[in-house]
Amino acid sequence: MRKVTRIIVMAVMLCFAFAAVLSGCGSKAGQEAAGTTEPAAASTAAASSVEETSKPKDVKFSFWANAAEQKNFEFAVAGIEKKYPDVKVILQGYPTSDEFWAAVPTAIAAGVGPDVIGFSDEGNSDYMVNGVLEPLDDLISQVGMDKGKFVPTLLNGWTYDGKLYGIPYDTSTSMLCINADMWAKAGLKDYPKTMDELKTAAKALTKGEVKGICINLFNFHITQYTHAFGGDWGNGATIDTKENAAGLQFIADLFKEGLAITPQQLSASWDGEAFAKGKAAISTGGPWYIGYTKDANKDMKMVGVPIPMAAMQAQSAYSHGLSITKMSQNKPGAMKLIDYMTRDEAQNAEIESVGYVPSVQSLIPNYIKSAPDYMKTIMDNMAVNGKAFAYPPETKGFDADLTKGMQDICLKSNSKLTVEQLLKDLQEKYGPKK
Amino acid sequence: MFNAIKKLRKEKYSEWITGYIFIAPIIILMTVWFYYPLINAFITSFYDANITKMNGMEFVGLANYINVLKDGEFYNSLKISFIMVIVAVPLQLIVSLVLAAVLHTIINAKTFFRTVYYLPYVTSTVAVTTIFMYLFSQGGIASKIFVKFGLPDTSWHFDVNMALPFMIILCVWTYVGFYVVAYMAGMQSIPEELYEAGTVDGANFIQKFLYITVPMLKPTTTLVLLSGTIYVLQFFDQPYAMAKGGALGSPAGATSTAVIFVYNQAFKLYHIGYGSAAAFVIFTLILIITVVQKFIIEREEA
Repeated sequence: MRKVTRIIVMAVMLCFAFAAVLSGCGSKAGQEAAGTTEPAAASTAAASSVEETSKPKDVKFSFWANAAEQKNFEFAVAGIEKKYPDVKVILQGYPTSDEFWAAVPTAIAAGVGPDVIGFSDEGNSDYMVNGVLEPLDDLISQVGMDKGKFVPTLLNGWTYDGKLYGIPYDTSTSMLCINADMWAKAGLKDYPKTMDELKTAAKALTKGEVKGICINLFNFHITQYTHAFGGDWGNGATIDTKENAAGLQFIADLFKEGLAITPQQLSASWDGEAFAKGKAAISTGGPWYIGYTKDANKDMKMVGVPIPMAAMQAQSAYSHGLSITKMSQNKPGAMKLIDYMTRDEAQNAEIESVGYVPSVQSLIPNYIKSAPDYMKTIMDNMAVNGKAFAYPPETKGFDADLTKGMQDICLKSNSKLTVEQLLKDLQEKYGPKK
Repeated sequence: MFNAIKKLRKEKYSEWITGYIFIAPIIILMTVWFYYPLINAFITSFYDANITKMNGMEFVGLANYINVLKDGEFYNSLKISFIMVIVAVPLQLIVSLVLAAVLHTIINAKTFFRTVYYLPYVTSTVAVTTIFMYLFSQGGIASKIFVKFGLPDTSWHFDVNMALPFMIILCVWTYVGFYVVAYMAGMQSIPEELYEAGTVDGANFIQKFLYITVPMLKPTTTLVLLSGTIYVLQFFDQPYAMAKGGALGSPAGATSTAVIFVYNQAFKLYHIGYGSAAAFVIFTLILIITVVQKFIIEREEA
C-alpha cells in the first residue's frame, strides 16, 4: 500500500506541475509571447506611489509596434504616475498588426481584453458600429482634455453617429514616393502631376528587372488611385461607380502593360522594402517611407510628391488613435492614459523617435522643420485635399475581396473578371442592405 | 485462498488506479486544449457568431452549413486541397519508397542518410517555407534551374500559375523523410529468405523490389496513403507563412487551402460560426475519405 501511496503522491505532484505550466501559459507566458512589457519606469514609480496615495488601478494598453514604436509608446506612458497617481499602465505590444488583430478582438470578445487599444482609423468602422468601443465625449470632459487641439479632419475618422470613439495620436497621409536617382537617370524632369504623366514616367523607368511602379494590391494603395479618379467608397454606399472603375482599370492596365509589379512578386514583404531595394522606381506610400528608406538604403535619394490627379486632386488623411473598449473596468483611468499619451511632450518626441506627424495642429510645424523639404508640400496638400478612406463597415472582408479580385484581374493572364464585375459584386456584398 | 484472491484484487486495483493517475495529465491537457474547443466549435457552428459584435451569438440552425456548401470560395479551397492530395500523396509515396529501397541496400552511413532525409520533417515549417521562397524567387537558384525546362523566371509563391506547384514541392519535400523512415522500418521486417528464394529463382533487383518488397510493404503503404491524405488536407503552416502577414490565399486565391479558408473566415474576418461550420464540413470529408481508403485497402488485402 505504501508503494501505491507513493505513486499517487507522485502522480498528483505531476498533475500540479502540469497545472502550474498551464496557468503559466495562460497569463504571464502568454503576455511575454505577445511581447508584453511593463515599462520599468511606469511600474516601479507607480508601485512606490501605492503607499503614498490610493492603490493605482491597472490600465492595459494594447497596440502593435516595431522596436522604435515600442520605445515611443514606453516614453509616452513613462511618468504618468506623477500626473495620475491612480493609474498603473500595462503595455501589451504585438510585433505585427496581423498578430494584434488575431489576438485582441478575441480577447475583447472573451472579456479579458485591454482597456485601451491603439490602431488606425482604416479599420475602426466595425468596432464603432458594433459597440466594441466606448464613446469618449463624456470621459473627455471628465479629464478636462481639449479635443479642439487636434487636427479637425482627423477626428472625423473616429466619429460615428455624432459620437467620438478615438483620439488620434498621429497624422498620417499618403504620397507618391519616387527614387530621385532613377528618375534623373531615366532623363525625366518634372515629377508627375497627373496620372497620364505617371504612366509615361513608369514606361521610361521600366528597364530590365526594374519596374516603374510598385503597387501592393490592397485597399490603401488601390484607394489612392480610385480617389485620384474621383472615386470614393462612401462607407459602402458608392462602391460601384464609374470613377472607382476608372481607378481600378488604371491599375490593371499598368500591370497588363508590364509597368507595375507587386512587392510579393519581388519577394519583398511590403512595398517599402521593394522600393528601398531599388526594384521599383515609384510607389504609393506615406511619411513612414522616409525613416524606413533611410535605414534600409542610406544611399538612396527619395522624393515625395502629392498623389497625381486624374479627375481630382486627392490625398488620404487618416490617423492612428487611441480608443477605450466598452468592456474596460477602468474607463476613467483609460481616458487619463489617453490624455497623458497625447500631451505635447509625447507628440514632439514621436517626431524625433519614429518620424510621426503629430496629431496636435499647433505642433505640426515642429515636424515640418525636421522633415525633408517636400513634406511641407505634402502636408499643405493634405490640409486642402485630404480625404478619408470611407471603407465599408466590414472593412476586413471588403479588403480581402478587393485584394483577391484585383490580384485576379492584374496577375492572371486569362482572368475573366472585369473591374466592373468586381465592383458590382463588392457593392452587393458590402453596400448598405436594403 | 481467500487472502490470495484479496491480494490479487488489491494489486489489480492499485494497478488500475496507477494507470489512470498516470494518464490523468494527458487527459486534462486533451480536455482543455482539444475536446473542449472541439465541442465548443461544434456548438458555435450553429450560431451567427462574430467577435466584433458585442450583442452575443444568434442561433441560426444549419444556416452556416448551408451557406458554406453554397460558397464558391469554399469549393475553390477544396479544389486546391484535393489537387494537392491527388498530386502530392502519390508523389511522396513513390519518392519515399524508391529512396527507402536505395537506402536499404546501403551498408555504410545508413543512419546518416536516414537522419538527413528525416530532418525536413522535424524542421520548422516556417523556416523551410522561407528558405524555399528564396530558392524559388525571381532569379533564385531553383527558379533558374526550372527556366532551363521552359518555365518562367518568376517568384513561384506569388505567381498565379506556379503557387500551387510550389506548395506541392514544399509538401513532398517536408513529408517524404518521414515516409522514408517508415518504409525502411517496414523493409527491415521482410524475411531475408524471400529475397534468397527470389535469387534462386533468378529474379533481378527490380523484380525482387516489385514482387517481394512492394507487396510486403502494404501495411506501410496504407499508413503513407492515409496519413499523407490527412496531412495534405490539413496543409496550413506553409501557405500561412507564404502570405508573410498579407492577404491569406494570395495570389488570387491560388494558395487558399481548405484550412486557410477556415482560418481566414474565423480569425481574419471574425466569422467564428461560419468558420466553425466550414471546419466541420472539412472534418467530415476527411473522415469519409479515410474510411473509404481504409475499406478499399482492406478489401484488396482480403
